[in-house]
Amino acid sequence: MPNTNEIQLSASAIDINTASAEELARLPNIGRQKAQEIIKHREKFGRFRKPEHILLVGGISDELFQKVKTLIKVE
Amino acid sequence: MAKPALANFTLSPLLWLFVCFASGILTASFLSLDWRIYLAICVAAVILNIIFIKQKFALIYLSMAFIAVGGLFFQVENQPMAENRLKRIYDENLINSGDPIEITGVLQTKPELAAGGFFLVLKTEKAIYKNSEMEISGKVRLFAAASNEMIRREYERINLSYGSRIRVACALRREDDFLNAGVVSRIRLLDQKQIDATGNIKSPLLIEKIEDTKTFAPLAWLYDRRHNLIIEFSNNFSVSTAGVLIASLLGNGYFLDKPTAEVFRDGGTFHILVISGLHITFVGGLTLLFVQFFTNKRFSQFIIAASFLWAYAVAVGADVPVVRAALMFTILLFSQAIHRSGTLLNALGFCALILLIWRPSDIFTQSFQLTFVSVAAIVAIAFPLIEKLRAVGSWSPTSDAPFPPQVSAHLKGFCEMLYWREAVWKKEAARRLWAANLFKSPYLKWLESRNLKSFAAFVFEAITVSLIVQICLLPLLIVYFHRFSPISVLTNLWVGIIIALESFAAIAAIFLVQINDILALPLIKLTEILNWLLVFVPNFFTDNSWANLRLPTYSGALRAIYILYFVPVILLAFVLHHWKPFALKSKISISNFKFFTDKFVRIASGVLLSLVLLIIFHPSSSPPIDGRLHIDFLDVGQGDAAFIRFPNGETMLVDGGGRRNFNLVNLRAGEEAKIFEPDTRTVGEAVVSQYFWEKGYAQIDYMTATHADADHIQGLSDVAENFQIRAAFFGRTLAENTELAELNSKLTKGNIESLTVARGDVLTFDKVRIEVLNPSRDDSPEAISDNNGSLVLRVIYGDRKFLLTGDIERETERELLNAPEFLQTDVLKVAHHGSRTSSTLDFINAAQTKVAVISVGKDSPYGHPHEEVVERWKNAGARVLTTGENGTISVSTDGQDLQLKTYNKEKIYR
Repeated sequence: MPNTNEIQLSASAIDINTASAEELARLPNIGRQKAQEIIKHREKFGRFRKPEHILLVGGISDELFQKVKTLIKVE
Repeated sequence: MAKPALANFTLSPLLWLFVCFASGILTASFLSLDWRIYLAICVAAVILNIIFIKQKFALIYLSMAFIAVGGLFFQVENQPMAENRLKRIYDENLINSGDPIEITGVLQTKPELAAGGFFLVLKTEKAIYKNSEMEISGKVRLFAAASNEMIRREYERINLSYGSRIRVACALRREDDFLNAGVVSRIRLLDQKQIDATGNIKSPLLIEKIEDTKTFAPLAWLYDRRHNLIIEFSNNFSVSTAGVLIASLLGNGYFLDKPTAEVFRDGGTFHILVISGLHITFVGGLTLLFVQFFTNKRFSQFIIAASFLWAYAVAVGADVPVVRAALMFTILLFSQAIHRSGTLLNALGFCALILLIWRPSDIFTQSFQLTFVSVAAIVAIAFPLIEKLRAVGSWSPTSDAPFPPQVSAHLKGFCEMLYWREAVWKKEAARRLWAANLFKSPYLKWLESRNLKSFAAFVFEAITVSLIVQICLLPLLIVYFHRFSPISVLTNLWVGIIIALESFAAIAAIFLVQINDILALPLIKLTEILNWLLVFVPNFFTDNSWANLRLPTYSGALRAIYILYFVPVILLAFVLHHWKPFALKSKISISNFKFFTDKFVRIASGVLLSLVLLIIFHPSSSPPIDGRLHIDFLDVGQGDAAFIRFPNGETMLVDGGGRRNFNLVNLRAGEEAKIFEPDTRTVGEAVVSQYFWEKGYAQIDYMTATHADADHIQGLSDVAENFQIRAAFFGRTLAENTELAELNSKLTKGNIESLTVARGDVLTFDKVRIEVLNPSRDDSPEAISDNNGSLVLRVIYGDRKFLLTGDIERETERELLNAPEFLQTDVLKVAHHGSRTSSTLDFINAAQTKVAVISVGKDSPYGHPHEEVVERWKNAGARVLTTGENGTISVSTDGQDLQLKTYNKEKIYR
């Protein structure tokens, strides 16, 4: 996986598979609506297997992922 | 043709076997019997054939055996496929089309470059869907957009190559969009390319390379060469030139820009941009010429030419049409090599037979039919005709043909003008013991004195071949492309010659670029000039409306005309084969075909001509007038298009759908910016126009633009271009945008009157009233055509009312509620694609509609229709239908009843 190992996770990184909508909405540039989308995606298609897979959610762009990549994780 | 045709022998037995095999496939496609039955018939026929081998009728059993084999192969090919084939998994809805999925697979080729990204063809192995892992098989095609330099570098770092095993997460799709009559099924096209599903890779972060698997080194080398050539072409030439060269030489059409591609389509020469028989013959022929310098052993010539040809075919992706053409050329070459040239027709039959044995259902594909018919036209009609005319023209008394040809004086004179060689005759006459005076055409001298004769003969032959191919292809071109270009008889010659020169210049230029840029400059300039000639000259002609016609097709039983067309064509081809210009009149009776008289030829030609006219002028191709009012809501994806047919047969299109953006790609940033418009078909062309052509319309009497959004009016431009329009209706003085500017220019060009209507106007068509409810009359220039300025029309016939609302939002709904009695309706098109900006509860209650139609795509980028809106309409008692789910939604009334039909389920609700 490119980059995965290089990403310096911040200590407060949240697990996108267990985080609540409120926690997700606190991430930079992810508002209430995108947080809802993430939860919906998780419910419909199962847990994210990698942080990058958050890109599969509609409305999450490459740029956005770059901003939050140190703040999210998958356990 | 000099050999005597023995009455009871056919010189092309393989053509006959091909016909049997093909009819077997056709039979099996109607009668899907078990393959064992076909096998049994086949075995029985073979046994009978062996028993009666001495008898004449044994041939019938042989033919039967081949028909049965055709059926057998077709059935075997269509056996249910493996359970883990993606195609099957998606067709059985085990995975929903459009759901995200993680797949592992091996790349089948090097990534195929495209303008603004690249394509991957992946042979799949494993998938993870909803957290469960499964084994899968089948090929998928994925597109990865590389819109900026950063993403491009990221992909380069992953280093995807031929044979890489990768894991990628994306949404895979296998579904048809635009569910309307006449729209070509996407699934079918993919199946023909043996691709099970497609998808877009959203980001390089979603791809992971696992390893590089072992590959066949020469193949990898070929792919690398081609890849580099594509890059060289696109770096060194202009957008148009590079697009033409990459498509026609390297078999990659993703660099073609729309304006260039359209010139080729209009001129009927687009086939030159797709690698097919023409290219293969050209490449193969050139190689053969080249090889002949080195060896005169026919067999070595064959081996070298064929190997080069196949290397080329494989390098350009070995698409089915390419393999088909290469196979055909190889067989023809092989028959030469083993000194069994036979007739070309026999070789054609053999090729077609092999191709159908390889893939029986190919017979139903456009590309097979087009290739086969055009080659057959050349080999079976054009070549023999030219050969015979040449014999007539160059006749001098010999022991084989002691008497002058028995043809009309005009024809004889014409042939002599082209083919008589006075010098040769004089030379021979000097050596002879006897002398004769031959009276040849008087025009001969004129041509000969100017050294124009070989040129004139060449032009005549080229035009004859081109014309005969066009005549034979006519029904196919109309059915598949709804296009007939009379000019193509000439443009094909021009384009064929220029593109050959351009290719040589370009290849030479690329060679020189490797040495020195400046050295290559003159050749690059030359290539550009040739490309300009290639595009500009045909474009000059196709601007005339007669040069390029867009034509509708017949539907229902009348469709048979497109097959019947070939009856006189085949009969005339037979006559041509039995035409012996040097036989004496009395000898004709020896021939088995007594009915091939002059009268017969005249009748057959007459029938053919009337069929040509029937197809081109298509009288009564549109549906019969039934005294009902019809409204069809077309599935244009995101967008609106409603087609009204009045009881007297007049028609009106309200909005024409369209794309939101033009997907312009910036190929190169900075000073030398290259803007590229990809050659994708617009909704107005591929969906709306296609629907009308399929239904048999060449004229749409009126068009109406509710407002100036692209998803409503862009398609109207295409309709204005492709159909005859009497008048166009508008609401507000429209907003200035590119789509509107285009529509206006099309209306001006077509001399179509524009009329502005406003609240209070009533339009009457036959017994149908159309009340204009919105917008209010406002002639000031500030009255822009936004959503709330949409035209709102109520169509009334007898007791039935239909309300078309454009994209109005709650403000206009509130305004309209001032006169709620005008809103009551039976069928209503929900405003603004079911967005929550519209459909207020008061408005819904005032409409009291029975059916609410939402015009919206299956996966709207805006999330339309909004759930609460659908609920609101349902709660008010309306049946809610969306075009994305149901395809075309057709309602009709005789003024009393109300019928509803959808494309997806041909069910009639009353």
